[in-house]
Amino acid sequence: MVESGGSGAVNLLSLSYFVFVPLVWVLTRLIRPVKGRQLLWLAASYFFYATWSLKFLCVLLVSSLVNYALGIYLRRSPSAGRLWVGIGFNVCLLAVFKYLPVWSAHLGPGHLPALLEHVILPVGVSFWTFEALSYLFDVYREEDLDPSLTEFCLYLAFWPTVLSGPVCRLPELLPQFRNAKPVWDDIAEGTRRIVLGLFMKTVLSQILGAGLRPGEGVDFGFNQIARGWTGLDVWILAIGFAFQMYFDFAGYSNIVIGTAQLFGIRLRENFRDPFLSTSPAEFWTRWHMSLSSWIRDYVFMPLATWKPQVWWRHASLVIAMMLFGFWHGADWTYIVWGVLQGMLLVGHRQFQQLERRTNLQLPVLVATYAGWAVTFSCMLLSWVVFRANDLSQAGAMFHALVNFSSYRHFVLPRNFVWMTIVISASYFVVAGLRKLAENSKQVPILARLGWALSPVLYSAAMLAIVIMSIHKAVFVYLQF
Amino acid sequence: MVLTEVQTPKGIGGIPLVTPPIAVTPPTWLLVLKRGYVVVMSLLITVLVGNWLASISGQNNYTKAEERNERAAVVPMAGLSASDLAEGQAVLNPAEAPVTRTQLLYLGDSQVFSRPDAPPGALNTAQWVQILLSRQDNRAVRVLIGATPGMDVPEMLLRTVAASERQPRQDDVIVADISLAELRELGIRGEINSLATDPAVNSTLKSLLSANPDMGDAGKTLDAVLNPQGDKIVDKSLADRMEDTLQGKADGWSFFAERENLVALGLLRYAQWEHRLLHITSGSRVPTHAEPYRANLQMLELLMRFSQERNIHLLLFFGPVRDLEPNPDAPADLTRMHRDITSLCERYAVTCLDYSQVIPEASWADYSPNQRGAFAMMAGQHDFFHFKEEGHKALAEKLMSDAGAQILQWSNQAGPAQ
Repeated sequence: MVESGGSGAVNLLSLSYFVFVPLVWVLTRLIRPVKGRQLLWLAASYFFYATWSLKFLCVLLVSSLVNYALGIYLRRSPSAGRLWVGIGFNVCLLAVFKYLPVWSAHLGPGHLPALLEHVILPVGVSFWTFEALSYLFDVYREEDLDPSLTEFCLYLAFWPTVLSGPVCRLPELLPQFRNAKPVWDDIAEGTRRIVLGLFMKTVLSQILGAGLRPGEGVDFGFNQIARGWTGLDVWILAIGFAFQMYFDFAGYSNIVIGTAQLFGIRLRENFRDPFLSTSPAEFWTRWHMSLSSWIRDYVFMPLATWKPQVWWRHASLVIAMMLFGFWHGADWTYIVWGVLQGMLLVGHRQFQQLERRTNLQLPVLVATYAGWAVTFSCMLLSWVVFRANDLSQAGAMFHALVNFSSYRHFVLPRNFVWMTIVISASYFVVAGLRKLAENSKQVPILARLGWALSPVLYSAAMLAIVIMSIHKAVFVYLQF
Repeated sequence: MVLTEVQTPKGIGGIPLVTPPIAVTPPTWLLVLKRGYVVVMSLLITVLVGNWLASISGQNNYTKAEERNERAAVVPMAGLSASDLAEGQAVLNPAEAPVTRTQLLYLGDSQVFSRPDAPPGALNTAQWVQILLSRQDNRAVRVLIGATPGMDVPEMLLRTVAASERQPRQDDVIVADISLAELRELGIRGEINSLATDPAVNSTLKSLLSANPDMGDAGKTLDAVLNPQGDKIVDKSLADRMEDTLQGKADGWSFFAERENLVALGLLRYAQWEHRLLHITSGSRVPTHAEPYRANLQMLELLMRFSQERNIHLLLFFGPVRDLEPNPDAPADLTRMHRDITSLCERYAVTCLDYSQVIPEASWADYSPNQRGAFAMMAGQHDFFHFKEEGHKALAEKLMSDAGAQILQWSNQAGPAQ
């Protein structure tokens, strides 16, 4: 769907990116005036985006100028009518560039005007359109926002985030665009996150997605096996895809957040150990946090406060999560996935109410582990729907899950099964070790030991990144 | 943590405040040292270990040397004339095939060319076929070797489609050595995958799939090859050229340049550990799952339909199987494969020969106790896939006695260059 997804583009895994970033960093240090820095960053952002396609840049420019004008129009007299004009423009933009190509493909040639049939999806359009919308909502709420045109354009085009977020908010970025001064800790932390992100994406996500050898990996399991999965295969694919997505998108987010931090800009976090969540509600405060909080603030809250009835609050949850799914694309699998997530959240609320009504009190340890197991399993199964190529494939996979006689063997390559088990288990081991390391900061000798050994870990990560960079990797989330 | 003496800054209204001891920043030199340590040590270890890894990546060169041996210049041997040597050598140079000859593409896995016992320059089955054909008519057929280690049916189909688009003339005859291992996997390696990036091959494959919607399982497999995720074939842009230049510069560091070898070496070590931990031997039974088998069978059917459509003559034979137990191939799986493929051959009028028992036990190879390279983990065990040089000759002779006349007849039908 994305035109020229990378062959000609500077992406976050290319060597060009690692020349581009230091170059902009040095120029930033040379330019003292704030206005000059902002112009430099804007020029760098537009250059970066233009390497993907000049046509994409044109769409972004038009969106920036129109949304800036809409912001001024709304600020003069914040009214629901004016806000709806802004919402309408951005929804139309998404409809034309994100959903029309999909519908056009479904309809076949000749059903749409010739011009519309050649519309292509600009990379990142869903992310920066939601940023523009949040700006309009904030102006409508009469927040004190007065960006210059340069600042607003930079907010939408800021090169670390323009491709796939995190979905930023102007009130957080504006003061930083005006006062960003990176200190050593920013540079050290930024670099650490870039290395970590590259390792997650280039090594872990790559191994899970494409496997160690051809004919292995999640993509093979979903795309090339047409039928005949066993229950074990479906579980392995669900685990593999969940962790592939996590390492892909959390790795990408680490690179983005780290890059911004090199320039003294703190972006909002996007992931916080999502697979340790003990309830669906908690999961959504840890997974793709920038988008889930956007949906909460600008969709769920206004909807839920519209009517006081409990059923409506539940319906709002389902609607909000369905929209979350639809944001990923005009495909039934995403919509069903969103509805499933909404139902899980409603189910969790109902369970909480039941607990309160019956005064049910499980031992903390049991409640925690049972909550984790149920949440983890439900999330894994919902990812099957998300990743399936269509609903019939998802149906066939669920059928295999409930066919208990199929659990005796698996058809997926043994290597892939091993890799999935090892990598997913490592996630939990590392999470435990990190907790230990955090506690060890209280013990100076352990903290010093950690500091002394850290170069070994960084070197191992960098060596693995260089070796695995031989494979051409594509960010999964770029397609959204 | 360095602590200073108690500080007494001025308080509100000039009343001094007594504050608890506070931490202050250590001296600049210490700070620089502390921060620089992680950066410098990380880079130093990366460079040193990287260089060391680059130096040991040469261990994978043994595998490369094996491949080179298989492509080494044919050595003179008793019974071979100068013309035989030239014909045998020409098989290894497909690019130089004369357009006047009928082109025969010989497909299969490493069984086609691996001769574990022989020195570099010994002949493989495809070369023997060339020599034996030339002895009957030295201007009729040019055999081109299209076999690759571990080749599976999707790769065979891709090679066949690419061969149909070969310039200046398409391949006229395909001879394929079919083994059960080829029907177990569905993976397509990068180098064969890249054939599909050729616009003509890509478009032919897409037409083939759309014309055969009943081959859904095969279509699923090829779909990923034909429509790689997030990437379209685009002209080289400025960013591309910049990236290429940077990659070229990065390759100046041996570690960077040796990445491919290091990945191969890593996989090799991984396989060795896997064999050791799971007690896998060369004779361990390898399961043939229904799903990839069915897709591979569809792929073979697609190959037959395509060959018919393009007037490419197709000849299949069941490759030799070592008659020893324990054996990686389950007898039931072999029987099923024979039954299914024979029935396909009958349906599409394709010649299908059974050579599973052609190689006597004495002609099969064993892995040496000091085996190195890709099969190091099989040291001292039976080799169930490869046979000695004499086996290659015997197989080629059998093939020629059964189908040589037919191949030459096809050659006469094919006529001069198209």
